[in-house]
Amino acid sequence: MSETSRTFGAIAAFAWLGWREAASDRFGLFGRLLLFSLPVLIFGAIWRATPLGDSGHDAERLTWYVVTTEAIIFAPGWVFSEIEEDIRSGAIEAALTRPLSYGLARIAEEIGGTLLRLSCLGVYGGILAWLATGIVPISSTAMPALALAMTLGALLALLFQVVIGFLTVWLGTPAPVYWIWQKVIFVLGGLFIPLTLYPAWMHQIGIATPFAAILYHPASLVLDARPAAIAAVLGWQLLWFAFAAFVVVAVATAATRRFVREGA
Amino acid sequence: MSSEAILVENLAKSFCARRALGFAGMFKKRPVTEVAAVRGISFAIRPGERVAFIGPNGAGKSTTLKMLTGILTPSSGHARVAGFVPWEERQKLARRIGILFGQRSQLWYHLPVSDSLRLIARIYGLERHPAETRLARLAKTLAIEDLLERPVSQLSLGQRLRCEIAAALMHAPPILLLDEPTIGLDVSAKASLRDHLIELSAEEGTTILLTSHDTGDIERICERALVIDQGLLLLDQPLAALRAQHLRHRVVTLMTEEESPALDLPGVVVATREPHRTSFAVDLDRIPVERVIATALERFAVKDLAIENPPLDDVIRAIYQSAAARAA
Repeated sequence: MSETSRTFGAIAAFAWLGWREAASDRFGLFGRLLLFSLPVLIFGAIWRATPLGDSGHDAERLTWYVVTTEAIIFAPGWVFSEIEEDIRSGAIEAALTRPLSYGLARIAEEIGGTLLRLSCLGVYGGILAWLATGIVPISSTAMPALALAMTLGALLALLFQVVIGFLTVWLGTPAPVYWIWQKVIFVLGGLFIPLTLYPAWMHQIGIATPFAAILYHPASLVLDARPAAIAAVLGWQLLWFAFAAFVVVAVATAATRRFVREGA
Repeated sequence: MSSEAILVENLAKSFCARRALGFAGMFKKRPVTEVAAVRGISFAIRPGERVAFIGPNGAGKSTTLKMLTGILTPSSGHARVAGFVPWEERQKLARRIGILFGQRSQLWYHLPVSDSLRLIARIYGLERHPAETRLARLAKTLAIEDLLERPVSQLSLGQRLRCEIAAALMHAPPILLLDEPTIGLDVSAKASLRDHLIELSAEEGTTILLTSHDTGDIERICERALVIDQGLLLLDQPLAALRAQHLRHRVVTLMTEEESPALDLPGVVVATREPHRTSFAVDLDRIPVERVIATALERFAVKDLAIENPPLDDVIRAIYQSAAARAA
């Protein structure tokens, strides 16, 4: 067996492990679905009560928008805190003695879990939104693009969490960074309100950030799923995905180097 | 390439410790103190040897072990483990060594043991059939066949540690590094784990380097000891030589018709006394043990007798005491 196929086999094994762990955590999954329902129902009601005038949006599509962003934000686990725990407890030492990098193994495991949760949240959210609005705002041909964009958004969020987790090596605890990141993503990512409803200057800034690539861009496909819009969304996402992958590799390498130099 | 399983030359590791200054000093630069954990140790271990790495807390045992696994870079010195420089080729080395940290688990808490072991087999790139054969063999040798389908979370500590050893050995590493493998186990679980380790080592010729505070682990499993204190290697000897050199007394226990026999010989003192059973500590520098026994047989109606080596704890204590005396 070649080194490359061994590595891919190990990555696949970790992804499958993450999928199984997420599936066996039924209480956590049920809790997520319950928590996910609340903002969807509340914002659905708010949008119906909001005079949208000539904004170009309607309450039904905006409800679907919130379902999409919420599904993406709820899908990744708390990987930053798991990495923090591994580093602080020294559990990372055992992981570092394996023939697969700790970062790669951790990301693969979290991808498995994220994909399972995103699938559940996507299906549940779709049913919820359809029951609440009575419409499906996206054609069946554009549906795979929406699924792909949602997946890329969730994985992008996951990669940034991995970076935050590795900051433990320098900061001791990365929680404050995570809180800031979370608040910024709520605002600049357009968690509840599409960026197109923001003031123009804020919209211009927000749209070019990685936060929009995580939430706004994929969710905007329920507002506009023409081929040009799909191409633009995937373009932004792939751009930020490449950037995030580069940052993850750089930070994980630096953190591991520091860890093996200075110990737990 | 070295023919030694483990070769260590002048290995040293220092850590930078920053002093806490409290709230008032949060904007001040914290003074850095360099702490030497390991100070230039050298040793070599041949393939198949079982070696104990002994030392008190903070002696540098775990730091050395971490350097040998590649998860810690030394400040200076050189080491090769299975032909690899650990901190430069950690992932390649990982395929050649098995590691058991007694206080840390390599298994997945919620998964059945067999799933964890199969996952480890995939991480190490084992083909399905050889992995299943290996799993079955380890399960039999370590007596974990009945535990394979149970989640790790439902195992007792002793059961878990047997499964941890299976995890460390799934990829059949020629070198096994054990850090406190029996910590927290009861007497019978310790004995069982030690027996399994010896059996596996004998069958597969595995080199074992073991750190432990439990002298029972060392006596039962190892044939040679490296004694480390304050980052320095104090001794590197076979266990038998260690005893002979550092423990110049034996314990002779007599079961006699007489209720409390007395031996007024030079270098012989009563260690413990019960009715019809007396233990004497014999100073070998002053009197040979044979003369003590001959005298006892002459004077008393001896029903049974035993000559024991004192516990290894005493040996280690004697080594530290002599090292401290030399330093003073």
